Amino acid sequence: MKNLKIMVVDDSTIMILTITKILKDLGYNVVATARTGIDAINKYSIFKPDIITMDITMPDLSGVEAVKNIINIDPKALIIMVTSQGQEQLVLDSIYSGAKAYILKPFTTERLKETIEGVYEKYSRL
Amino acid sequence: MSFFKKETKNCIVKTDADLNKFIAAIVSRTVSFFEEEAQIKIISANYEFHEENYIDLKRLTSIISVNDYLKMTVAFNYDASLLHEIFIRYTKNIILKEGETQFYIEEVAKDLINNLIGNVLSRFGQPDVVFEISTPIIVRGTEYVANFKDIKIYTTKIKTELGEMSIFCILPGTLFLDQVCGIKGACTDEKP
Repeated sequence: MKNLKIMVVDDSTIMILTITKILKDLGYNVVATARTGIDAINKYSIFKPDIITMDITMPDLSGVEAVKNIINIDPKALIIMVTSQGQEQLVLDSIYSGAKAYILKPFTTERLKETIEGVYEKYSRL
Repeated sequence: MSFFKKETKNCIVKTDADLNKFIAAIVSRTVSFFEEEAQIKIISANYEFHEENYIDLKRLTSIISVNDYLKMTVAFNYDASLLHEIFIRYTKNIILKEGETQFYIEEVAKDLINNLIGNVLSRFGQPDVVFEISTPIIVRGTEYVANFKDIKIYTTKIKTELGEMSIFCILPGTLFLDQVCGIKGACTDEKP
């Protein structure tokens, strides 16, 4: 499961640095980061990551809207929502839009690893 | 004076009692952050409600809006020393660019309010309630904001071993933001 290519999307610089550090420590390859939904859509086509971690609340385009756009480009894109809000409707909107899982902040390294590997094992061969 | 005169469906805070629970939950989550995650000892946490038409501000304030029926605004206001210590503990495992400490301190302030309020809202979530929180904004260097009209401010002062912070829950939030962000240069989402 090492060497998975991952893109981290979050409007918080601190969260990008934190998640990137954890992913690199776990042996994953962080190929791109994006601070806006639009940036994420553009970079998805360039970097073709295996997994995307996506914040829900971002200033220009919400994470849910970014998921819809990326799934429109690639229906097999594997997206994990990362949010501090366990709000049921937001999570449902994300899943209906094509996200495969979500993880609540604050999270442990182990929880992030389990979620990434669970999503990749379940969906990458479909 | 209560804000709950109209029928308030599909929102998190529907009564004065809900509001008190909501504020108590914010304080509880903030205290648990200090004690369990940042390892900073709490000396006291005092809640009060006031209708004065000003609030005193310390060095830096992060603000977030809850786009519920009431459009609440929540603000975290820090002593510089306390926020600097939070920043050190919050970023201890990551490598930061040199010379950009102030930028990262503000990023931590934004991240913290976003995460803590998000966590609190998730406890109040109900299947039929749709709400949004704004991306956080930062107010720096403003000493006080005055001349409010028709605004209620609920204040909790948290005193820690490393400095103080205040939590303001302000209703209606949009009116407050209009007034604060009317101060030239006060509200910013830009890198300094």
